[in-house]
Amino acid sequence: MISENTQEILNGIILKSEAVDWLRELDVLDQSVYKTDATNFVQTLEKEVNSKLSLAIMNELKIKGDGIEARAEALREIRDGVNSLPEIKLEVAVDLPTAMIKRISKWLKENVAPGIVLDITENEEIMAGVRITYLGRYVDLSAEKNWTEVWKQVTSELVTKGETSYGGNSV
Amino acid sequence: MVEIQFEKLLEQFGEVGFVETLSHSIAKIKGLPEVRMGEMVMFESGQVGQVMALDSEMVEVLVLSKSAVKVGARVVRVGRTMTVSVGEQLLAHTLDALGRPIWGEPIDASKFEFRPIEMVPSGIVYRKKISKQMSTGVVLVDLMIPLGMGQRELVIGDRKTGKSNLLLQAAVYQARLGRICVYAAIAKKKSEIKRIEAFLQEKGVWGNSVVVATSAQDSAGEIFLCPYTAMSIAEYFRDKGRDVLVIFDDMTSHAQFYRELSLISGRFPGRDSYPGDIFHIHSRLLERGGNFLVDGKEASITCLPIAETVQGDITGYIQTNLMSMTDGHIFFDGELFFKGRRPAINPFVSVTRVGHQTQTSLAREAGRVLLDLLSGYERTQSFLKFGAELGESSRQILTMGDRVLAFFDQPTSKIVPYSMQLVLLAMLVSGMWNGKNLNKLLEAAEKDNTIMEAVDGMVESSDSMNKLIDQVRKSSEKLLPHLS
Repeated sequence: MISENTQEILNGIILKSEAVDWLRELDVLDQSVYKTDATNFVQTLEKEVNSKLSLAIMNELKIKGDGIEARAEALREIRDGVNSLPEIKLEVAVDLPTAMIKRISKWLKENVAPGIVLDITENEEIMAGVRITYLGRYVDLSAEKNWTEVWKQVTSELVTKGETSYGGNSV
Repeated sequence: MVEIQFEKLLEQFGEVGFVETLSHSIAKIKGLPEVRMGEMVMFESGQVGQVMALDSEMVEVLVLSKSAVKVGARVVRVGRTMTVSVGEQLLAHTLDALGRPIWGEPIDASKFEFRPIEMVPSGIVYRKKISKQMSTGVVLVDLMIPLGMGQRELVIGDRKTGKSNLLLQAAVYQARLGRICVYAAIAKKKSEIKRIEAFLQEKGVWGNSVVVATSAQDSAGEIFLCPYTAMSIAEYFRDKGRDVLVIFDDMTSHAQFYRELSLISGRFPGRDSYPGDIFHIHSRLLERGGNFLVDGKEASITCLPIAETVQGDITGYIQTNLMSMTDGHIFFDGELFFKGRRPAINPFVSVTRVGHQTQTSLAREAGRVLLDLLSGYERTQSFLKFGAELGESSRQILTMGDRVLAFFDQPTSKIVPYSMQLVLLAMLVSGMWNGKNLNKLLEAAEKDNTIMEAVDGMVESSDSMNKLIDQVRKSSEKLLPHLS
C-alpha cells in the first residue's frame, strides 16, 4: 500500500496523458532497479523522471528503505496506484484551454472521485457541449444530439414566417 | 445505418464499453456495467458479439465477425440475447450462423419472427414417447438399426467413410415425405457446402430444406453458433406442427473450435485440453431434439449428429460424450469401407436404443432374421481362414450372406422405400431373389405407381415374415421381371 502522501501526489495527476507518461517513466526505472545501487538510482530519479513521480518514489523509499526489493516494491505499488486511478472520458468540440481543464479537474476531484483523471478528446462533429463516459456510463450533452430536431423547428418557423411576410408565397 | 443504430443503442442504454484487448475472436471489454450473460453487444463498426463471461473488471465477448475489431473501439449493449430470424422464407436457402443468406436470392424479412439461439430444452410434460419410425431409405439402417421420429442417433466413423452421404440420403427421403430438413454444415469447405446444396436441388427437395453453413474461414464465434442456429430454425418448424430432421456435420469440429475459444479466453483446460463444460455445450443442444406435443399434436425434431474418429477409435473424449447423450449410434467401419461395402456400417457395433419400439412386429422379425443371417455368415466366414472344408449347410449360409450383403450394397443416389425393403427381404429369404439388380426395380417403381401400391398392400396385410413371403409369392409376377 502506498502512503497517504504518495496517494496525494498521485491524486494530482490531471490528464490521462500524464498518467501514461508516469507509466512509461516507471518502465524505465524498472529496468534500472536491479542494475544500479541506491545512489545511482536516486540520480536516475533526478534525471530521467518528472519531479512529481520522483517525489512520490522518494516518499516511498523513506518508508520502505533503499534496498533493491524495497525499490522494486515501491515502483510496483506506484504503478498499481496509477493504474487504479479512475478515468473519465470527455469528448468536446474544441481544444480546451489549460485553465479550464484544471477547473474541470478540480471540480471532479472534489465532487466525483479524488484521483480522477481526464481523457479529453476533440470531435468537431458534436459542435458544442460534451459527451461523458465514466465507469461504463454514457451521457450525451452535445449540441449535435438535438441538432436535427432544432433544425427542423427552425426551418418550419422560417417557412411559416416567409408565408406570412410574402403573402403566402413560400420562401 | 450502422452508425445510427449504434448511437440509438448508446442513448437507449446509456452504457458504453471500450475494447481493451482482442485475441482472435475474443474481445475483452472494459465498461458496460449492467450487461448480462449471453447478451448481444454491438461494436462501433457494426459487428456484433455475444457476452461469454463476466468478471468484476472485464466483459468477455465472442466476436461474431471475421472483419477486425479495433482495440479502443466503443461497444454498446443491444439489450437482448442472440436471436435468429425464422420464417417459412428460410426454406431453400443457405444461411450463415446468424441466419443471413450467404448467397442466392435475398429473403423478404417482413414476415420474420425472432427466436433465441439458446433455449432451455422443453420439459417432460411437453414430450411424447417416440412411436413412429423414421425411415432413411437406406436398407441396412432401416432394417437393422431402425430410427424413430424424435430420436437422436449419432453417426460415427473415420473420415471419408460415407457418413455425410448416408445423412444426405436420409434427408432426401424425409424431405420427399414432406418433412423439413435442416443441415448444419460446421466448418466445412465452401465446395462441400455447394455440393450439399446442389445434391438437395438435384433430388428435388431443396424446397423443404435449409442449410446453415459456416466455413473454416469464418470466425470461431460463428462456427460455434452454427448448430444452435440450426436447432432454433428446426424448433420454429416444429412449433408449426412439422416434423424436422436436423443433421449436425460434424460435432467433433465444433468441439475443436470451442476448445480453441476457451483456451484463448484463458479457461482452464481439462481432459485433452477441452474445457470442463464441453459436455454441456453439446448436451444442451441435443436435448432440444425429441418428440413433442405441439397444440395437442405430435411434432418431432430428429437429430443426427456426426462424430469423426481416428483409426476407428470410438473411445475418444468427444466421441464417448456424444454417445452418452444420444439414443444410439451408427458406426461406419473403415475396414468395411476398404472391403468395398457401401454403406460401410457395422451393424454389430451400431446401436439404436429407441428405434425398435417404433417398429411393427413384421419389421422386428425382419431385423431378427437379418441379424441371424449375418451372425451366421460372419461365424462361417471365420472358418474359411483355416482352410476347412465346408458342408452344404455352411455353403448355404455363405451364399445367403453374400446375397444379403449384395442387398445392402446401396449407392448414394438410390433410396429404397421402407415397404419395398421388407418385400425384397422376404424375396431374398425365400430364395426368390439373389439380391442383385435392385436399381432396375427402383427405376421401374418410379415410373409405375402400381408397383409401389402392390408393395404397400403386401406389407400392410402381413404381420409376420411368413405371411409376407406368402403374399410375395402370390404377387411375384409384378416384381420379379425387374429383378432378373
